[in-house]
Amino acid sequence: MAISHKVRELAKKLVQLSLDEEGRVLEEKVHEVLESLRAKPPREHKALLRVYMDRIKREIAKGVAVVEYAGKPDDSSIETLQRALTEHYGRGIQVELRENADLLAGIRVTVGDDVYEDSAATRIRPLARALI
Amino acid sequence: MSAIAELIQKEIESLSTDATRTNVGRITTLADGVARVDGLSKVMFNEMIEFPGDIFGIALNLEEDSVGCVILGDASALKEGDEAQTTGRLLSVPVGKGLLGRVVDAIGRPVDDKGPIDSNENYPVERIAPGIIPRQSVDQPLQSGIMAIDSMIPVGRGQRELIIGDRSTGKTTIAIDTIINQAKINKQGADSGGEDFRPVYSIYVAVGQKNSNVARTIKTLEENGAMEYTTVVTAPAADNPANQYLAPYAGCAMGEWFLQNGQDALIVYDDLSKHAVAYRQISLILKRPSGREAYPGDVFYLHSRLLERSARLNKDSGNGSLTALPIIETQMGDVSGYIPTNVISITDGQIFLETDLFNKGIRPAVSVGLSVSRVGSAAQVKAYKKVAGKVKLQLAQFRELAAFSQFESDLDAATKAQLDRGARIVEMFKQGAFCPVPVEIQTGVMWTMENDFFDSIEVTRITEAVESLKEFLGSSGKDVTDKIRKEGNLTEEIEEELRRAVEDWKRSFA
Repeated sequence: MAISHKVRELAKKLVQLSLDEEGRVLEEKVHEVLESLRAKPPREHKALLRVYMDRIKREIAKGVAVVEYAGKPDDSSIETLQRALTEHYGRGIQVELRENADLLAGIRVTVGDDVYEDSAATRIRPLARALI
Repeated sequence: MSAIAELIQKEIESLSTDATRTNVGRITTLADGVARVDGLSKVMFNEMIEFPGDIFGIALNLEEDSVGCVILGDASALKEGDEAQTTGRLLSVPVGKGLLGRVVDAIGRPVDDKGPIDSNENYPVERIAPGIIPRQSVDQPLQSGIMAIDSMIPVGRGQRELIIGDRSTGKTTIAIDTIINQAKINKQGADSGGEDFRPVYSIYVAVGQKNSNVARTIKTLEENGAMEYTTVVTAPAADNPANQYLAPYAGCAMGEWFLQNGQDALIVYDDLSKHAVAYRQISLILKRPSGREAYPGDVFYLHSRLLERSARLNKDSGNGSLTALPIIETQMGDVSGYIPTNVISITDGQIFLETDLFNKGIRPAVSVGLSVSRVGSAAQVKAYKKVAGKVKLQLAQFRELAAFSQFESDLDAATKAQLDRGARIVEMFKQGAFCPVPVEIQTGVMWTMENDFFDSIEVTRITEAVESLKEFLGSSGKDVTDKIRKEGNLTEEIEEELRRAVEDWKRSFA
């Protein structure tokens, strides 16, 4: 079903209300938003909640760096990475570590929809294409 | 084995320690060859998007939360949730002489089983047309080899001349004839070894056509030795609308290579009606607002930006040219349709083909009244201009008088003479498909008509007489036709020689 422009705009405003001064999503504020919506349900309530959820997810993803690795990096490297990302994006970035054997070697960092990758899997991909 | 080792070695050498940065998104919906992708916040308009399984798409709709991507190729392998990533590249196609003699698809991949394309250069499919400063007015002819066109609606290098008409009126035939004629002239020029000779390379873009038709066209080009100077870009009816939408731009990029490198090229868009339909389909699926006949608001820009890329450049800019012959199919001869009027207003003239004339056996079925070339007459060869100057007016008057004379039983001598001349001109212009006539022979035939040599021949025998004269001028009268070609003008001396040759022919024909 097509989502109306009004719903999108309202969801955008609700997301703004759910952020703190540094642009992080605050759980209390999200609760407040949800309660006020429950108390006075707007038109297209369900659609609004869906758009709101998508946008909140996106905002949360912006503050989280998912670091995938094949061999675990040391703590100092992770700290350096976190500092560099916070500086680059101008907001607090939390690091989330995940092991991914498919990378073979190297690391992949995902912040929102940006992906930084230096892994053997990426390097081998063009070679595999050329040989097929 | 060593080749594989070399390949791996190259790959190792090309490895750098820099991390790659991409922008990714996920497919949220996928329908009719269009994917809506969530994410991709840093995507560029018209950027190539990579999907799993080496499938590419183009970002056409950049919205606040999502991106509308048109998938190039088989979208059935994709599914909701698949990752899409930016490539940082705008869609580009291989260009250069390595494409001559090849049949490629809308993104320049070979489809003719002749191996990879020999090209190391790529041009983006979307490019801004040359501006005012590098342009020059059209002043060099581009011979179609079709008498009715070269005499009445001449086309110059760098011109955009629309071929318009109903289905099955010979639109493609005119375009193919022109391509074949360029190949013949190219061969003649290469044999003569003239330094000033500038060959014309051709690009034929088939949009939304049946594969059998495209195969037939390619066969015709091969049989007539034109394929070696031609590139065929094909996006047949079975192809997805994205490829049909892109094919003309891809062909244009291939033609632009010649333009930018000081060479001459001819591009045929067959046809832009189907191109507009493919674009309408994409736009509707992308949920763009629709306007008249459900076409999107920018359907004029779709064709204007394409056709503006055809130009004649001045000497400082390399002196190259790109001539365009777009084709438009009308419905029931209606030239006032949305797309036909758009393209008519963009081009520098049109060749209108009439169904009635075609059915009467007047082929090519060129309508004199509705056809025009706005810039081509400046490019016409002097000798030809001299003999063909009056013919368009004579033919138009004949058509008008012929309509009135149906109600008149008694006609005055002047009217009767005009009717007789008109009937003979109509017969003279009848010409078979795929047999273009060199301009010097056309000049000889037109001169013969202008100097009343055909007047004593029965109208029903004019076609036969013209064929016989063409043959004569190509063999026994070769000396004089060679002189016409070299001089480019009809001097008194040449005219006298031509008169003697035509008198010789007349005696033999009688």
